[in-house]
Amino acid sequence: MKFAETGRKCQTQNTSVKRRAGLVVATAFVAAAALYAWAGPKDAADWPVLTAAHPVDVAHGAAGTPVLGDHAAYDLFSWMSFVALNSSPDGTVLGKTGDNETLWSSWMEDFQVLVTDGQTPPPWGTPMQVPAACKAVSGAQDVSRVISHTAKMHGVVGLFDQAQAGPLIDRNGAYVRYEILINAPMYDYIRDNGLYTQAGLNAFGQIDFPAGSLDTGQIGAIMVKAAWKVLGVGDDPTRFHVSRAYVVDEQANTCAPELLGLVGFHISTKTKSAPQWIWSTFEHVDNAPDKGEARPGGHYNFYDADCASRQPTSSCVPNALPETPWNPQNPGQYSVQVERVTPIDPQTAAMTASFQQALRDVNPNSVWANYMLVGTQYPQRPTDPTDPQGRPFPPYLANTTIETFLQGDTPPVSSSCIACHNRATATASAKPSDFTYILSRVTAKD
Amino acid sequence: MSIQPPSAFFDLSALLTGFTVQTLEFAQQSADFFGVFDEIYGSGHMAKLLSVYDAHVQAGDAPNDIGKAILDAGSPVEDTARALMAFWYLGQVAPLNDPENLQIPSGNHYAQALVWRAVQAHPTGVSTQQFGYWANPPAPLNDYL
Repeated sequence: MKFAETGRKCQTQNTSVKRRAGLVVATAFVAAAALYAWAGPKDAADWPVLTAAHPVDVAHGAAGTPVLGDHAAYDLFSWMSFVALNSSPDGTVLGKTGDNETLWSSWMEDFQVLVTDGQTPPPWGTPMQVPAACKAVSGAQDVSRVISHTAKMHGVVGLFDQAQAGPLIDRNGAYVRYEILINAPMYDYIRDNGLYTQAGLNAFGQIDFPAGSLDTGQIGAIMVKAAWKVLGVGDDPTRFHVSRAYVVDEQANTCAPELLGLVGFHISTKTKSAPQWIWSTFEHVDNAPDKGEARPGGHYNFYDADCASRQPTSSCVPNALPETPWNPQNPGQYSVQVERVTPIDPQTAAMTASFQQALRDVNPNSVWANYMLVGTQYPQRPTDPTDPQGRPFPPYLANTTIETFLQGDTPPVSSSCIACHNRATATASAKPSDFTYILSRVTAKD
Repeated sequence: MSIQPPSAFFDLSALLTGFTVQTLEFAQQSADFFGVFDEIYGSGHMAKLLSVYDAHVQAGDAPNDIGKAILDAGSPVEDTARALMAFWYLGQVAPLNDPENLQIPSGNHYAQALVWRAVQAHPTGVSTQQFGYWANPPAPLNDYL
């Protein structure tokens, strides 16, 4: 088995899940994205592997088309992607230092491609401009030093509304924040083809982002969506991947430096075998209990067993939208009581346990061992002529911090990554935008 | 969590409905047609139907002969088979002893009902198509089976 130049690996044994290890294959590397594709694993002893080499696609090998609903290869793809994207740019094994700067934190934010009239998105790798509201922050110079010192993420995090829903408010009354970043193949595709203006979108043909291909070894378009909570009373920063970032409130035009903890993480990867993309979603293990399964005395980021003792019972209904108006600046807002509606698949949980153990073997204090795979949605029949969604499995998938209010299995409102993003369009004539909503937010006319 | 149906359930359902086993398996992933039928129609009837089907298979009967035999078997096997066909096609089922009490057990049973595929369309309110699909003719019927 071969690894790319900077690959690192750490192995543990887990016979229950590694028998399908040979299903994930990748080759070559993409230097522009500082992501290295992976030349393995080829046999059962090769994983879990903590390598910065990113998987390119899922291959089904001699076994042919997998049994319907067999998600092991896709879950492995998800974990390999998670490890690769969260690895340090310096090549250190993930979590060796407990926490680390991540590869994806250097990607471009979605709003960097959403320019105004007459502007062109900056070349890949251009640092983000600090918003005016943040420059005006009292002591901003100190904030800059803090960012430079931690070097976890030089971020401006502002969004708080979830997709098709409202905000998630934590137990301290703080809003969870979200950011969307894209990798170089996706960013350059938008920039090079002029898809950052409505005129450019109209003039362009079918939007078809690059797909990761085992034939070429090239990594395709990748989007990540991160959910962050402001770390405050009751939170243990040593259990989170943390980032010191400017937190912007657009409504009030304010900005504040905050220490954030990663609580949710989507990875969406376009591959040749999955033109509907592969949708991987991870969470912090302390987020929320399964419905009705809260551990007595257990601490959760978004669930309080004593909720009714400190806020109205009506606000303790699980997964209920908070009262309006939604404004992070409003004092005394009630937290959202979160429960996981659909339990994580046992096979997925077993794979997570295997990777968590590998991470602890590297460093018992690795923050990355506190994250778990919720699931992976993928197209089972990508070319089904009756279904452009490609018969996704599982039919529904939700992250308690990103689709808090859309959990469940009710069509068409419950969360399904592919079903939702299949509706994404760009331009006034609603041209399908290849499973991204970023292009639906293009406002520049020309 | 629903129980994984036996393969005979899909084989028999394919025979009765004219759809492929894979199409039925996709539907079962979203809506539990197997377990819910047993729950609402009445426990044990499905097992009896499957045992009759299995006996025909073991005897080496041709598929069309098996289907005809089952649909001519009289009550309760014939009734169960027809109720199962209706459940697959319409997503609705009634208890054997309360036939007026038709139920659509879930939104997924409604959405996955085969009638939509039989007419090359999608259920009202639930579509897997992309924006603008209505400008093009649907895929051939065979692709929906």
